[in-house]
Amino acid sequence: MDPLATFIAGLLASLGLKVPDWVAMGLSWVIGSVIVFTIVLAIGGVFTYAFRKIFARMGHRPGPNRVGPGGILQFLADGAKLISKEDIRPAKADRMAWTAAVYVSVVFTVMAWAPLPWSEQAIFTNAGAGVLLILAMGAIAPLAEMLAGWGSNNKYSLFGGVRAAALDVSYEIPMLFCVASIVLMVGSLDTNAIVRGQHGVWFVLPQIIGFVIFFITALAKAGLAPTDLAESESELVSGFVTEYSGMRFGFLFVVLFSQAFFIGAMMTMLYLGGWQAPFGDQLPILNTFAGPFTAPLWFVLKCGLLSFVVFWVWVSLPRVRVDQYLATAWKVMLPLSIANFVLTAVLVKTGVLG
Amino acid sequence: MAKVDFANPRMPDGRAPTSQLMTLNMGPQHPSTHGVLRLKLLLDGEIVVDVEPVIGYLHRGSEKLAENMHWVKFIPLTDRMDYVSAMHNNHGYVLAVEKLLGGPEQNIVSERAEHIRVFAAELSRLCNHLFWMGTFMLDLGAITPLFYALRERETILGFLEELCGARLTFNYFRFGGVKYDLPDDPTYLPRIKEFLAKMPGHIAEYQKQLRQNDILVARLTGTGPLSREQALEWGITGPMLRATGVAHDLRKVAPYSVYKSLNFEVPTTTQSDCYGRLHVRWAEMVESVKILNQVVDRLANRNLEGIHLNPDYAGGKILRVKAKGEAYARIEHPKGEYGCHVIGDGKQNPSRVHVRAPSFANLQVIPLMARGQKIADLVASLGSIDIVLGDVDR
Repeated sequence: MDPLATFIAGLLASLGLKVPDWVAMGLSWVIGSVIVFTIVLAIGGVFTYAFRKIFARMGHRPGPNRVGPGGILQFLADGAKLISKEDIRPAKADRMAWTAAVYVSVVFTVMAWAPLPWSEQAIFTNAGAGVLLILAMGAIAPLAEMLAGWGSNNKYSLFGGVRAAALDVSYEIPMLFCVASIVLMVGSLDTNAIVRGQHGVWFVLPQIIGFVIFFITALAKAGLAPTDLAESESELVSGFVTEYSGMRFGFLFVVLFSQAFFIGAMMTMLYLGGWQAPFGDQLPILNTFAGPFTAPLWFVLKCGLLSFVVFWVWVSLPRVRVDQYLATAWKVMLPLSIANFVLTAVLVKTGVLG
Repeated sequence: MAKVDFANPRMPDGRAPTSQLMTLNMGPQHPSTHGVLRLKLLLDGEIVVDVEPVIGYLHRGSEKLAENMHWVKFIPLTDRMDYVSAMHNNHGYVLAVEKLLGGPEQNIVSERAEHIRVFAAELSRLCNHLFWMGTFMLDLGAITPLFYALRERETILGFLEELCGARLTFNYFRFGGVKYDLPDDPTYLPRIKEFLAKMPGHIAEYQKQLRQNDILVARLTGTGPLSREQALEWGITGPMLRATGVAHDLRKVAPYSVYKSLNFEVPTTTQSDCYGRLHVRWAEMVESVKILNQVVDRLANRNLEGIHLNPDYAGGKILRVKAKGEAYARIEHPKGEYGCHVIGDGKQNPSRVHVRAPSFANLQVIPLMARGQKIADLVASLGSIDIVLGDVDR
């Protein structure tokens, strides 16, 4: 039984209800899913505000500052606006594909969050092959872009969908090789094991090549600038998002911003020691201050920092051309990531690493 | 504008296409067509096979309207042609009418007024190039440079507002001078000097951040090529022409106003692609600052003769008597050569006004620049031309 189920069983027992294990497990799945879903949407929502604030500060502007203190409630106002907007479906859209795209995008993005270790205990799906689960869920997400591109019956959307497909095959492979190098070092696909394996030395030092390649490919995977080629508003109007309005657009938008955090979370888990404090053990001061929340706090801090870098890159760089990205992915990043993988394998075998 | 045969398409090298081509309407509502331009694209995947620009969505018949209004009343309408650098439109039209009234040898415009005109025009040129840089970067997907550009543009617009009360459509030039003299505020010119001292640093800041950007260099180098011969053949002017290595600037080759007495260079480059155009415009901004420094010094130190507006011409009565015949004046607009042809027959209305708009002439070459390149390159090429649809359609 995972910790949440144990906690629920304990809670019910204290109320005088003795439930069998499978009920507690089932309840924990439902409650866990709701919690993960809420966290993703909340982070996505808050990040739309954070991005606008960062973007504004980098462009000498104050950013949103009308709704709530410092404009913090802006994203709720935006959400209310999007919900109340008309849901327009293009007349000749492929209804099935067009509708499914949003659900596929949201569901599989959220599912990828389940094996993320916020701390040793705070993990929603402690699957043995957690990393594989994340990568598999992440690999389905571009399918949503292709579905949207095809289903919208719009040439711009189609371009976006085709670009998403072309990009998908080119970033997925270098990314997998980067993750595989880490798995070699740890000898486990368990997300918590990877974090524990970084006790002392974070993997960013031995895997610096992988760190850089992973960052670039993750940007493309999330569809964030400078590699937001499936959306690229200056060329394709809005790419695969063009024909979505109202809350359908809202969901795609929130998913996009939650991806910024997810990139940070993945990189924190794989390269920056996950929930561990920078110098081996947790800093004592923070420990007394935050108590059991110390580990998640470190995790969120690191993710936040990396997300800031993602936004920073977003507002700083022009968009690459589609053929330029493909050329870089196939001719530079793929050989480098394979070389990194082989090097890691040799070093692990000879006992230098791992 | 060249027509494209969409029924029987041909590849850029004249062959019949081997795969099915796609027709795509880009615009008139599209984020990067800079207004209501429509481009009919023939695409082979991501590659642009041919382009046909369709214009006229912003046609307001300005030139025809001129025939039904007083000579003076057309000045505000010229503002609305190229609304990004309205001062120059004023200047071109006013110069043409003044030529009709007797030309520069008549001393219609005092030396002071000429200096104020150059002052306003060069500030406007800075605005135009800044705004162009920002929107061009936006076309390339870089969202922040626009706000850096607008930071300086706001300051300049503040100065222009103090000068003439407007920030976009200035309506400032008049036959015989300008509407208002410099503001009475004694800190006005020192504040401008202060700004001009800072401006080269700002330009260096843009260059530092954009020149060393690998993605930007890769996106712009070789994009939207236009040879010297093509540029001359199609009547391309302005920074587009100078980026092909032709040092053609009307302020030098056919000086008007007081440009002859001012010391400045005509920047050129032979790198005739989008990157070259970016460089030429940066260099032009530096030259504009140079010109402005000289003009402001003269306005501040030397007590320039004359008043800002010649009263004999301000009223417009003289137009009825003397505005007969034809005149053509041309100026170096930030976008290229701006020509204005006026015909008068002694009435209080012009009987014909025609504007040779730089945006219109420069837009013609978009098929030459875009054929065989990617859609993203087409967007960059279009941005590098610097068009304003108000100027194309009029």
